[in-house]
Amino acid sequence: MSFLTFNIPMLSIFLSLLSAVICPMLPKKNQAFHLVRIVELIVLAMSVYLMVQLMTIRESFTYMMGHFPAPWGNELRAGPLEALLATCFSLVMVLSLTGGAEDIRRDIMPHRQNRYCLLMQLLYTAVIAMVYTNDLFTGYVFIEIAAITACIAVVAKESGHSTVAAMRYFIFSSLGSGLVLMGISILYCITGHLLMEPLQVAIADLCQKGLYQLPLTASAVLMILGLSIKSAQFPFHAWLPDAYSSGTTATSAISSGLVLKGYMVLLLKLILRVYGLGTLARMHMCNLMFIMGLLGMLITSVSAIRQENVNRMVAYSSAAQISYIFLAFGMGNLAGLAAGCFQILAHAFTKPMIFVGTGALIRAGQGRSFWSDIRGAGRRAPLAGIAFTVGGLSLCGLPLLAGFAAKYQLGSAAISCGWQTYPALFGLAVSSVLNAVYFIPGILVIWNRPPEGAVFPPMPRSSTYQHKISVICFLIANVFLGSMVGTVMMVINRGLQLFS
Amino acid sequence: MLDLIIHQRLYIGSIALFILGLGTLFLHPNLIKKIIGLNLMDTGSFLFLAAMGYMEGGQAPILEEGAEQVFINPVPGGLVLTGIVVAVSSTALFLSLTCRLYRRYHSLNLDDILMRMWSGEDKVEQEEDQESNPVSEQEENEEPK
Repeated sequence: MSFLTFNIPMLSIFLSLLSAVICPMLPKKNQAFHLVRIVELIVLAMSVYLMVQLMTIRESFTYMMGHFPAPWGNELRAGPLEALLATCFSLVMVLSLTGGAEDIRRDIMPHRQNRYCLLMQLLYTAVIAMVYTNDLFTGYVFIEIAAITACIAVVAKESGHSTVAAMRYFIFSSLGSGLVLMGISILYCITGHLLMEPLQVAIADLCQKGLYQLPLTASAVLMILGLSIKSAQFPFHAWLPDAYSSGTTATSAISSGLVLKGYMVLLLKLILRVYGLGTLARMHMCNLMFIMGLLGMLITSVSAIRQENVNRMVAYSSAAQISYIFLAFGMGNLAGLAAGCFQILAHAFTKPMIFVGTGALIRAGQGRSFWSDIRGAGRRAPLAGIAFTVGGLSLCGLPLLAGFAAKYQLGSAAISCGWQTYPALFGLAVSSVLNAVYFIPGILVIWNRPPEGAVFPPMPRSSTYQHKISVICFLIANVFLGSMVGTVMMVINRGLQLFS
Repeated sequence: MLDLIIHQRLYIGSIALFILGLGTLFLHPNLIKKIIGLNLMDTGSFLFLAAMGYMEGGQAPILEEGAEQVFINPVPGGLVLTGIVVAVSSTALFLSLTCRLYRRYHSLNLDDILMRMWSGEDKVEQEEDQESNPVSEQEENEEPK
């Protein structure tokens, strides 16, 4: 492996962190936007290269930061799955920022826009670091960075609603990170390690000898609950609708598309690389995740039906989609984990597309985000309408789109489980129907004839080329994920094989 | 039983602090008390971490020639330091949000603020707020690791 390939994980994190720090110093606001996007594109290119390299040599590697060995040093790890996730997350980040650029200009004061870029880039760094890290404590630090920056990004819109929403978000997420920290402490207390490989060996050893089973279970419960609070898994999703409906478009898109997924990747690492599936199943943690996922995908979907505000509906739908990932992780087999990874990617491409579309639809409508205000907005902003339509249909499970492929993978993973098979299939079927119940009326509303005598504000420059490019790329990515499932699953499976 | 409590006092204390902080953070409507609760919760976690590395009669882990010594574990100490940095920045963020809410609603009671927000006082206050340009507070999120 060449020197460059070996350094790509470190370079990705370093470059994005460096550019984040530079952003607020740039004199003009557009420069920061360009810088952020250029860096993300560079990381995207590097991640694609890394993925191709790792797929051809079929290996993964660990990178010692500063060449210090454990327990002093800090490690990164890269395999095909990490490279794939980094690639997709970089792409989603660039597209969400591009698609939400118009709303950023409208919602955020001009002199704060450079700082907004700083926030976005820090969020991106945190997610990339969560993907690559091999050390639990580094994972915790980046969880905190992601939480703080995501809260400030919500409040960047500077309205009373967004401040209260950010506060609620922050209270929940500080509880979540407190629980994760407690869990990590207990784990360190009984094993003496923070790096994932030695932890796995030590935990297997403890389980074999039957020692410290109670603290081990407690640490697993604390970390799973902590991460589920952070990722708005039912029943801890109370903060999510406000936070997403009151932020600007790019914030909502990136928080739901990437930040929640970062926590899920960390959970995946905990499951496979720290505890091991067998240990977790013995501690009934898989059942816990499965039941939380199953209840979440039904109850949050029902809540979504009741919403009159389009952004809140999409936010509830995010909570439902996160539940799918929990359900997949709770199946307790490799196929379930692979399906969970695919769902991470599918949702990462679908939900930001819906948010970008909704943002433009609200601008094209009567200015507010209630259904009555965006009636007929699809006719005024056709491309945004198409984004909303395709995203909604994808989440309902229309074949050839990403959402269908994810559901198919989940279903086929469920077949080979034990008692989970029928509940999982039932949950998938019912939640798909519920998705259709709330998305299809929405789709009909936006393409409907606008009400008689409606006063529309003058058409803003919503159809700028940036927005068009973003939506078209999202659409292509969605169809690509839906139709090239085999290729993506091959990378995921190979990554998971190298994981443990 | 008493022996066990005395032996495990640090862990029991840390869990008590954590629960106390958690209760205050979630149940108290006053924002400043919520911040105090958050800090208590963090302190509980730090005490827990520090207690793990502590050994009865242990010394600071500095090697001296020729002397046989018992050292306390330095790694949890390092973790606590990182955790403190995180806690400081999250307290700063929480305080800045509180300032912003106080400036807009002239109250520190979250229930009160929510009531005013839903009753639509937001719009009136917004105009006032435009004049008093809030101080920027978005730079405290680069934790050194």
